[in-house]
Amino acid sequence: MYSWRKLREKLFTGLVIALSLLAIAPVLHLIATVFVNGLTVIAEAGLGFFTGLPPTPLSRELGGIAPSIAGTLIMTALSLPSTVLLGLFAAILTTEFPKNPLSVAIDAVAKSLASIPTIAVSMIVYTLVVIPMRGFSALAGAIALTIIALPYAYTYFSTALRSVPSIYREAAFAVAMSRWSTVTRVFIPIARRSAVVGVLMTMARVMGETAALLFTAGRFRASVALSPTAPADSIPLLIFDYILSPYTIWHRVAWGATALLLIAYMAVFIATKLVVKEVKL
Amino acid sequence: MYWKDLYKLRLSLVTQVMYMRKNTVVVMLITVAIVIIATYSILQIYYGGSKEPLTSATQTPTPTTTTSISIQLQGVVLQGAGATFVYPQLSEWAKKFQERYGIQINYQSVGSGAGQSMFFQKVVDFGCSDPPLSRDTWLKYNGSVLQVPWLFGPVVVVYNIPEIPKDAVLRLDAIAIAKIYKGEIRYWNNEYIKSLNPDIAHLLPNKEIVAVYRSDSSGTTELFTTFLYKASNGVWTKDLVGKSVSWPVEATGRGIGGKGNEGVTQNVMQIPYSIGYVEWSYAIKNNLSIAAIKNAAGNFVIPTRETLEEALKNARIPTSPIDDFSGIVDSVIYATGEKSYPILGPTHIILWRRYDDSKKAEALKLFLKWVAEEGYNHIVEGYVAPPQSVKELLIKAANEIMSQ
Amino acid sequence: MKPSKRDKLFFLSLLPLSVSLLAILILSIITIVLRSLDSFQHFGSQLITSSVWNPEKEVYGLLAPIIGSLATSALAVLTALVLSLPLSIMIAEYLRGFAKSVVSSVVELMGGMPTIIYAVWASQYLVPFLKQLVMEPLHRVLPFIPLFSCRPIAGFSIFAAGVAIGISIVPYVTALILEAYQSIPMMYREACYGIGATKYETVRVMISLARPAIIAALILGFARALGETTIAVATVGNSMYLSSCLFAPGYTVSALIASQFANAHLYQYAETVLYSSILVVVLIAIVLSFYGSTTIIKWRSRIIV
Repeated sequence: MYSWRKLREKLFTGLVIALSLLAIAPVLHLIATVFVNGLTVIAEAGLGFFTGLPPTPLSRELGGIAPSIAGTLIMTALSLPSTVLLGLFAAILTTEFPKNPLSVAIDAVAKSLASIPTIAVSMIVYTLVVIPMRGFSALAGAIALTIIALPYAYTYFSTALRSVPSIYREAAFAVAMSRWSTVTRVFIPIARRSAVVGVLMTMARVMGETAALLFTAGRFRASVALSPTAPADSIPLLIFDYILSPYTIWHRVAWGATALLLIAYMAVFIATKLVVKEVKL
Repeated sequence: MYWKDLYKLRLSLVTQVMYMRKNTVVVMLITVAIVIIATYSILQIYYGGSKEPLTSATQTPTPTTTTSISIQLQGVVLQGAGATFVYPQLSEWAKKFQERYGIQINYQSVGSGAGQSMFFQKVVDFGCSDPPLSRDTWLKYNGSVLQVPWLFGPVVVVYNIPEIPKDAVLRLDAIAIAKIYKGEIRYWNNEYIKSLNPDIAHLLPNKEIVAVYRSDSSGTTELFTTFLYKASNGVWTKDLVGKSVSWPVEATGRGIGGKGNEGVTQNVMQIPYSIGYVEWSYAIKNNLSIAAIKNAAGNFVIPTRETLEEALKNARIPTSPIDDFSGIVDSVIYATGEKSYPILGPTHIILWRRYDDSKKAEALKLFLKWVAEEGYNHIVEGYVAPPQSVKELLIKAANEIMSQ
Repeated sequence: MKPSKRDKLFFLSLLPLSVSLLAILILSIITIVLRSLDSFQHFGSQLITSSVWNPEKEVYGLLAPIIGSLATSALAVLTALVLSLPLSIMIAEYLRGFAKSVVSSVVELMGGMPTIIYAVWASQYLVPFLKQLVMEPLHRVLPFIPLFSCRPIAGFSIFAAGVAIGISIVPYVTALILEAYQSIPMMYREACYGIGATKYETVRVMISLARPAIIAALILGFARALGETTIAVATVGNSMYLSSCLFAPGYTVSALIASQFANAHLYQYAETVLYSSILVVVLIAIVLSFYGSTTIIKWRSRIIV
């Protein structure tokens, strides 16, 4: 009996190791192929990849993805502040007044809507914003991104604020601090690192959204547009359109853009790791 | 807060930053960048969206002969959407037009149905659709829309059969294709297909045919199904004609949907033993094998300039862009002529007669005139220049466009 | 104790933005519901009993996309179960120090990755791989099982979409399971080792303790997989074909909307039908997420001794 147990133990360890490797392998393969395929394209296109316009289907040279980069930056810059503000205030409300029916409602709604299909948001914003505005725009895209990112931002901030031990709240009340001061001078500074991580992760999510922009942003690739009320493009949308097309030149641009997106995402991720690596309270 | 202490020590800003933790600096820089972009965008909203995109001036070389009108129009952007059929040609035209006049044309290749839909919702300035507006739609908007069939191009049937060498041509007729897309012909070495191809009958493999069709609302589908309806002697019925049909082969599990001409091309390229229908330039650019189709005179023809021009002779084109164009497809598909290619189709540009924005109206007029005069000298491989009457239609349409 | 004036002011100052958040989210749901009422009135239950998409004739049947969404999510959850449970056990029990932080970081990185990158990789590499090494052998060896009975023609199928989506939700489910696993009090583990159990037996005990949380994690993963769009569009085959075979091309609701919404306004009922299809999916996702998260919370309060 003793050796049976040992055997089971060894088999289990082996199985766990094998399946874990199987779980990680696809991602490693993905990163490897994206870098190999994409970086060769970026190297070939050189700096022009970041400043040029996308090629027509029949052209020979690679061009660039400047309109998409600009569009992504603009839409992220438009949606991030509103998402962070709304999420932060709602998180403060739910931590400070947990029994209030409004907080319960916000909590329930945010939890449930975290899994809403992003294409539904795109449809809604098309009906409510694009048609009345008589055109696609970066603003519509930013609104769609805000709606999608709100549950995530709220959850991050709420976890961050909740992780502050209650001993600090008691200490603050003991010295007669007002409630607003408690929040701004005690909780947020203590939770600032998790809050920053929350902001960065929201930004990463917003940067990589495709379905939300399908019917809202407008696929504007003719030049770099900087106005929020004009149609815009974004990197994931470009990748989506180009990878579903049969033109080799567009496939290569799509791989290059994918590599760029992956690098940008990894940069944000590393930034969060840098921030959180500090000693946690 | 330790940086408040530093401030009390009255250190300069640079020294303060030097003393900060590296990570704080990094995060500060990112926040500052985001704040700058956000403020810039907000200022843009405040001071009007009429500012032209910044890089238009640097991207285009100054046109050598500019009239006063076109200097005013530099930087205007025209939004279009619609057929994937015309996209390769339109992107070439847009590039040349931008080099000449500095006006940008942005086109979303989303399919004829989506294009018409976006056009009528006024979300884009012009729409492109392979079939013209149906009679009912035209009646609804009578007098306020203009249509011009500015390009003609064949819908070709492409196939991917590894056993057949590149120089051999598979012959098919409407009955065979109709039966394939109805699911009734299942294998490539079916007796009927063999009877149409006596020379390569021995090469046809015993594999199932995978039928690729359009998953979106497509003008190319309407042209293709109209041909099947007209030429298949009742095998393909009238209720299976349209931009978005319920393909019988789908119910057998041997059908795959592709998004746009691009999606169908990609699917046929990647799936062996498949068959699909795409616009000619997609087949040429991606090196797909094109089938020879039996025309009304009984000959098997492949698309070439001659066969297309002969089919084009039968086109019944109305004389004014305000007219109803719904009969044009019927006149040019499966038309008479010894050598005419049976699946030739028009593709239309659809415009409003009145535009609120006068600059856009001017830009559109300029574009139509440019296409009529210059554009037809730069036809991309895969399309056919329309007859002379169309050039006149373009000029008439340009004159009809007004702005309030 | 009556809240002071200061407290009330504080509450009021937080109110505008929080209520806006609630309002935005509720407005989204209301829009979907309102827009889909038309189709329910006009078509009734006919919508979910057939699979056809014929906007020219205004005949719609959503059975294929809805079953497709459910099937791909079920497959995704199965894949996630097989892959993420061992991964969490590995991270929690077998790894220490540098290796543990590296693997955890990789899992976190995977978790936030934009799904378009997964979609591109899946459509170019995963689908051919699955077709050659998994679907065709299965079809050759086990064709009598109805799940594998059709020949995989193109690789794009419910199976491929399910596996691809499964790979993309593995980090999410792993994080949930890991969190649950690590919140089991040390007491249980110490007790197991105290009576001489091997690691395998200890893990068995811990997993059985964490079972409600693991099931809740899988339910949350299912809800997340239901909403996946880009990966589905790239791998599912876009065909309104419903069969019991996993290797045939099919449709999911998100892929249907991505293909058909842009031209929906040309036809009278297409738009409301699409809205009603997404309503079904949204309702299922909301109910499941809500159930999953509350189960985890309840379990956590039960397990802390």
